[in-house]
Amino acid sequence: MIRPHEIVTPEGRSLWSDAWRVLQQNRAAMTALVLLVTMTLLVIFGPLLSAYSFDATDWDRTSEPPSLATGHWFGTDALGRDLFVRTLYGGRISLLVGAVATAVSLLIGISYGAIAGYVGGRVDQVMMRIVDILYALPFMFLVILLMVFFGRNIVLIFFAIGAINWLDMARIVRGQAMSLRGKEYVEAARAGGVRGSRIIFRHIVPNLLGVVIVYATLTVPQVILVESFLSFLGLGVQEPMTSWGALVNEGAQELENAPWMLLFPATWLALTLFCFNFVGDGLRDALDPRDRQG
Amino acid sequence: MAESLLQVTNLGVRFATPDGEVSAVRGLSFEISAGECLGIVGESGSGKSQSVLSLLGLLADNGRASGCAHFGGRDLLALPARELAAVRGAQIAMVFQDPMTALNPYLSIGSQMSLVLRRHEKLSARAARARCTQMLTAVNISDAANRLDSFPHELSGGQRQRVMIAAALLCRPRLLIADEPTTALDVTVQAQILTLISQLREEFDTAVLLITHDLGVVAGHCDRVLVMEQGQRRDYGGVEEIFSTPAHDYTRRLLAAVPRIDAPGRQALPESDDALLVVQDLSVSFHLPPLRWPGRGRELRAVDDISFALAAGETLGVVGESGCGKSTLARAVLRLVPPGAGRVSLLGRELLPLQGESLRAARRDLQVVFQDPLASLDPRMTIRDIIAEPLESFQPELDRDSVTARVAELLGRVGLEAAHLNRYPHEFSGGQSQRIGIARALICAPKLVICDEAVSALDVSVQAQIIDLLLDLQHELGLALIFIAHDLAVVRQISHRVLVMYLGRAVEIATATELYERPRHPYTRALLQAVPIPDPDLERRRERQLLSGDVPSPLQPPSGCAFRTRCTFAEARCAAERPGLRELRGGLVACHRAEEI
Repeated sequence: MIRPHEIVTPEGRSLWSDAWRVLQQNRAAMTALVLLVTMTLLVIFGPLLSAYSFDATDWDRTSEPPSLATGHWFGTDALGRDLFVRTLYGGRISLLVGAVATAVSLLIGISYGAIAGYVGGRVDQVMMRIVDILYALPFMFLVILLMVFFGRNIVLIFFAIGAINWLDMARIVRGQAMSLRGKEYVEAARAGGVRGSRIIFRHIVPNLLGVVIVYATLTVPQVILVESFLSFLGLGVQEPMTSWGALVNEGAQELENAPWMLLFPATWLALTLFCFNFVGDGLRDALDPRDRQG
Repeated sequence: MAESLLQVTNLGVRFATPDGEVSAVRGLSFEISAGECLGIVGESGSGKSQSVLSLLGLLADNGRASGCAHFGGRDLLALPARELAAVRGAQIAMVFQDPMTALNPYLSIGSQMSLVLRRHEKLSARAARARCTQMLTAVNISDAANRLDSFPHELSGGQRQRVMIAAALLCRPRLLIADEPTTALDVTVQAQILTLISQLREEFDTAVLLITHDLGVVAGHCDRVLVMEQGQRRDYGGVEEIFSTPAHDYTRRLLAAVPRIDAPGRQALPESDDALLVVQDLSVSFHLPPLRWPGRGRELRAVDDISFALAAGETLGVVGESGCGKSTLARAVLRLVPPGAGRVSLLGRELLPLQGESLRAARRDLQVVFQDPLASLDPRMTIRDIIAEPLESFQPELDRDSVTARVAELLGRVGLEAAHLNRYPHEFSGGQSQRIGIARALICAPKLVICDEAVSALDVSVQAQIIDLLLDLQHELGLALIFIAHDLAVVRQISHRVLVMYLGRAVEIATATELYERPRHPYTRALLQAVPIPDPDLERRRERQLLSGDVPSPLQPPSGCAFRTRCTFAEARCAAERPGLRELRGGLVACHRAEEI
């Protein structure tokens, strides 16, 4: 028999540190991640680079094409506001709404769905009926109600969107959790005296991350679009503050005489969505040890 | 020798993978004469299925076959896809392992079967239907004309495999390829299907290529045998010759590793009064929703009044066909399914009333090893974390290093290296994964380990190693084992006593020697007769009475004795009165007529 001190134990590995290592080898995902970080830094600090402010109108220079000479790098809009600064400001709102609403929906959706799916039985019935009831509430009605009670506030929009999106997440997670509950390794864990909460967070949640992450990367674009829709209705972000959705909407109306008004915000939006998809794909692969090579 | 039907020379199969080319089959040559049965035997990964698939052009997209295969004057490997498709189904037909996945669940049996006829023989719908009915009758499916309108899920596993065979024989092929046709079936049904294939072979003069991992099956039904290992031919010859004087070392090892039902097992332990585990009148029911709403919910009695006791260091084997409730029995003792009626006590402590924290604490003495070694290990955890989990949950005060040291020590004990600690389950073979599962079960030094089909998914040679490991560990640690399996030969090897279950009820409990030598219950007897023995001489001389039909639905068990619908000894009393377990020649049996048998 081997005595403990003779055993050379290799350094411990964990799912997350391994996943990070694998993710680093995924060129597409890493490029997308770097781009995302760069864009995030740009939308935060970028406006400092420009001489213009996001809400200053200049009636002599309406709908001017992009030019390095004037300092309007992305051109100006119909009111003569600098589009570069406005795109970055819009990015702040769009990225934030995407991140916060998705995070809220992930947090609530995963815990709620995993508990309902794993515990099952009557608990599951009650929990899912609550979800059904919330589903039945019209989203617009909820948003208007919130506006009436709390006044107009962009933070409120974040939570309203998150609060609706977690319902989908919870349903998806519940279905996954139910099938995972019957897996032999979960039974083995129960037989091994592992507590329910620990089983949920150590066995169930990591094993449904693949599906969740793919769904989350689809949620981010969806949320950004919902926000722009709300803004369009006048319920979301208000002028002169803006978001990518609002900018794209304005740009689309001026497409014929000022195509850059659509081109720049749309490119940024599309790039962000692409990046999220690549990072999501990479994460899903990285979190599955079976896909690892070597 | 009769004229050669299929002549394969120097067959090679290669797969292009991201890690380079992998050669699955190398330099394989064999031939089959008309009406002959050739068995191809090998363990998983030996290339036995791939070599046959390549003949039919059914390899995966990255696969390539080389060599030549002459069939009816043409080289199958050189045929263009369109001509090969014409040969497939019409002249060479195939039966797959899993009859459920091989049938389309959305089409009725009849429409699936007649597809082949309409494609190859251009028959009208009515003529095709008539031929299908005829063929279903030939494979002993009762009420064939009406069965054509059934859907696959309405048939039992055995019936589905019959349908597959009928479909394969529709165009009167000259060669039938059966790829593990009985592996997914129970032993009694396996015996029915194999007998059927032999009968049909004579009736239709079809040659059969039988691919299997089971040497017993080969011994009983094949004329000649080809043994494969690592993509190569190891042995090739007449069945008597292979079994009596195997030329290759691998064949000898394979033959030695096969557990034999006629080999003496372990001696019974001396009677002892202090039982470790006592199970008394245990029943487990599941409530199913009504078929139509509104209606009455249905009750499925998966385990029905089972009682037994187990002493420390003893092994109780539990056998029965699939769906007989043996796994549910294990899960009920482990409290993984909601407890029903009865008592289960471990070391004098009642398990069924326990809840929450006290239940968790009681689980320390009671562990389990599951069937599918990969499915029972969390794919996202390292081996260290998997094995350590029970220890960390029962002794959270231990620090990380001492837990790791314990895990490493145990890994050594089950025959793995400590260097494997940080690997993930998918990096291990089936046998290694099962060792990991055993290590996890043993880390808290339990008193009782339940092995639920723990070796069923493994190759015979690996199976033998795992059984040796279990026997060693039992000897060393004084473990009590409940060993659940459908393979009666394996159970004999490891068990002191055996419990036979049928439709949730215990029909016989006796010491292994008694039960295998002198079975008291007609069901036990039929089970034992159905198990093939890897000895062509013995296997062909054996007298056997095949069980007919399938296990009845546990939702509507027969009145009285559950086995009476398939029993040749059944009489009026068996339908009226349910036999209880009673003592007979030192064992317990539930049969009214056990004395006469």
